[in-house]
Amino acid sequence: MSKRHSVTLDYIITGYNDMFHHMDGVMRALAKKKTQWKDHLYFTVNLVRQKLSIYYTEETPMTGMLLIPVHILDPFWKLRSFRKWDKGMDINPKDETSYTTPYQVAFLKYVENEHCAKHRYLPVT
Amino acid sequence: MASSPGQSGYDPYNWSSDGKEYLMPDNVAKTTPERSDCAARLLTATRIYLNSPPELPQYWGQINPNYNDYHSNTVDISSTLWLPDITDWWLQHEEMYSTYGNLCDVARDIFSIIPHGVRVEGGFSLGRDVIPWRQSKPPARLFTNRSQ
Repeated sequence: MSKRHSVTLDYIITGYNDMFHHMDGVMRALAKKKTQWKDHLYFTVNLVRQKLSIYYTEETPMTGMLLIPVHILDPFWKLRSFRKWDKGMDINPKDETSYTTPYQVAFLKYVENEHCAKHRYLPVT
Repeated sequence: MASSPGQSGYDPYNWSSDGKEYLMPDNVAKTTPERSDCAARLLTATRIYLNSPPELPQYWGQINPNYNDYHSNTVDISSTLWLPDITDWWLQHEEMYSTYGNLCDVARDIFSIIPHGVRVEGGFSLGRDVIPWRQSKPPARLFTNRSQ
């Protein structure tokens, strides 16, 4: 992908999710196959998926809160990613327990504290 | 034997300093109301951005300046996997519109971080070295156990 696109931070989670979906699809298709080479392929894909899970788990502590502003600054998604998560967990996006509201607040805090401080703007009181 | 900073008066790197100059930098005293206005404008722009609906990729694609570019890669244009480039969108907004003001600077700061440190991206790069584009079958020696 990096050969054809400038890889930005918003591709991280999207890339991981696409790979997980692809591997899940392959494993579902191969689950009941008895042929030896298909069995080997299932074993291999399963191992790769486990390795990808380890990478994914290690990714969040490395990037931390940076991924939240990245996803919000994606003009084609904005807060839609988090609303999708809320919908998946059957939570009202306006609730305090939702992903959308705290992440929106966190983004505003990020802009105010990190960016304004970096450019030495006085915080708004 | 080296002495500790407290035992010697020689302190070339100012280790014994209490660091007050870092806790209260000079620039705080120099901030002006104009800078406060900048922060307020930035927050207003952020709220406008958050309250506006997400951009539709097909509409933006029509005004993509690179879309009909003679020198652009035809594979990228015709590919069904075409993804709108966020950095281009922000650049275009910065140059043509001023809707989101300094939020473009925030976007530039964040999207200029190159995620090549992500392990899976590193894995892909390594994989392309092992299995080049024209090789579909890796040699068996790659998978044999070294202890055998």
